[in-house]
Parts: sequence; structure tokens; C-alpha cells
Amino acid sequence: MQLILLFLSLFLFAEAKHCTFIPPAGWEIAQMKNPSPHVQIGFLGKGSGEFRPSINLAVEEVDVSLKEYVKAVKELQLAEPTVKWRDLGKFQMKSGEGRIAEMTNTSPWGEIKILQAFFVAGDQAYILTAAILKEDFLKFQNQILKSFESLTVAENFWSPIADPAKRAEFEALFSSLGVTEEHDAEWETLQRQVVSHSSLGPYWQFLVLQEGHAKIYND
Amino acid sequence: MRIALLTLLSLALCTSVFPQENAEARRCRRGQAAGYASRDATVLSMMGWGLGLAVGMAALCALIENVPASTASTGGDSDGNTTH
Repeated sequence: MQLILLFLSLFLFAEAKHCTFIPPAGWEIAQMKNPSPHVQIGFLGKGSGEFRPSINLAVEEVDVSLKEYVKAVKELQLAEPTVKWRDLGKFQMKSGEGRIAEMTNTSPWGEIKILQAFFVAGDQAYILTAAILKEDFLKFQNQILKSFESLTVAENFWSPIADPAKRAEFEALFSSLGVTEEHDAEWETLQRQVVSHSSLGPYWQFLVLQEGHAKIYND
Repeated sequence: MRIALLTLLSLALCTSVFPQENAEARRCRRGQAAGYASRDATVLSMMGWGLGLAVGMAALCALIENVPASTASTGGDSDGNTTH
């Protein structure tokens, strides 16, 4: 029985993945009132008008390939009569090859463009979606594509850290969280470490703080 | 022996029926996240409620219980300072 439990926990642990991306510099964390069940986080930039450029990350459990997933998305999106959908082809992301598509739709602020990048790893589909006013598109296109390229799916929080010494240091710290009774001291150390890895982006920082806090304080 | 065969047969029937139902349900669900994400992106862009990174992270980590309305901004720096 214990062996079965051990195998099960190992299996579940092996399945756990962290998906992060780096939003364009200076964008704010979106306050999501009623986020959809699949949407994990959103960021907002400053547009030329009231319609602000935004980017969000969604995750969905799938049992199909990237090609089949994109095909399903196409069918779903084209069900909206006002939407124009276009597959822009393969797209290289940090974690591997994905696909990118473009949609245009109308809004009270004018025509909007929605860019979507898809990546499938294991039984999960990761979708980065950006909405921009058509007139702002050229201004934000490069920032958004760069952000899409940064999508990283990793087994743990420390594997995206490039420097081996810093990676080992972070792994040791993160693994030790919650072991001592010095909760506040651990929390401060973690925050300092997280700040020092700002190049991994605010979403990575948020995920580490969230999980680290849960480990330290047994949330 | 007969009981064992009957049990196996009923099990085989069950497993052949349920996966089809699940597969059907999955097919319907597939791509849903992309649909939700494009809808959410449009809503976010239209509503435009953003928080500076520090405040936003604290709020998301539930380290601060309620984010005052004044911190929600249409502009601000990465330290959570708004520019109203």
C-alpha cells in the first residue's frame, strides 16, 4: 500500500509543471474581476487611448497534439460571425515550437487585433493571448512577440535560472522553506532572492512568492 | 468461472462505453481556454484596471486582504506607485 502511495505521489510530482512568461517591461498586473477558469494571470500596458493593450496566460488540459488543438481553436473562434481568424504558422518559444494565430474583431473603440500563441506539452496546452487596438498594433507588436517567445514550461522554479551556482543556491533555499520555525526570516530571505531574479519576470516572481509563502506558513 | 467471465464482460462493456463519453466531452471542451483567453484579453483591455507590480503581487499572494480602489490605476510604475 505504501509503495502504491509512493508511486502515486512520484507520478503526480513528475506531472507538476510551472509555466511562466515575461510580460513587456512596465506593464501592470491586471485586476481580474471575474477571470475565466483557464486564465491564470493578465498584464496591461498603456495604449494610445482607453483601450489598453493586454496579455494573459491560459492553461487547458488536452489529449491532442498542437496541430489538432489549433484546429479546434479555429473552429471555435470562427463560430463568432464578426471574427476573422488567421493561422500565422510556427512560432519558436523558449520551451519549444508553438504556433501563432491572429484574430480581428470589432469593438466600441475600433477594430482590435488579438494575437494568440499556443504551446502543447504533455497533457497541457498553454495559450498566451494579447489584445491590441489595430492602430496600436505596430507600436506593440515586437514587445508582444518577445513576450510570447519567453514562454517557459519547467519542472520546477529553479530550472529557468541560467547561472548554475545561482540555480543551486535557489534550489537549496526553496527546498528548505518551511523546515524551521523562523517563518518571517525565511519569508524575507525568499523575497530577497526573488528580487535578485527579476530577469525571470514578474509572473515567475509571483508564482515563487505564492508557493514559497504557502510552504513557509503552511497556507 | 461463468461469474468471472460475466464480470469481465460487463467490465469490458463499461470501459468501452465510458471512454467514448469522456472523449466526446473532451472534444467539446478542447480549445475552450483559447476562447476564454481572447474574451478575457478584450475585457481586460476595455476595463483597463491594472495594479503596479509590487501591489499586484501582494494582492495576488493574498498578503494584503483588500486592495483599495485608489491603487487600481490606468498608469503607474513598477513599484506599485500610481500616477493619478
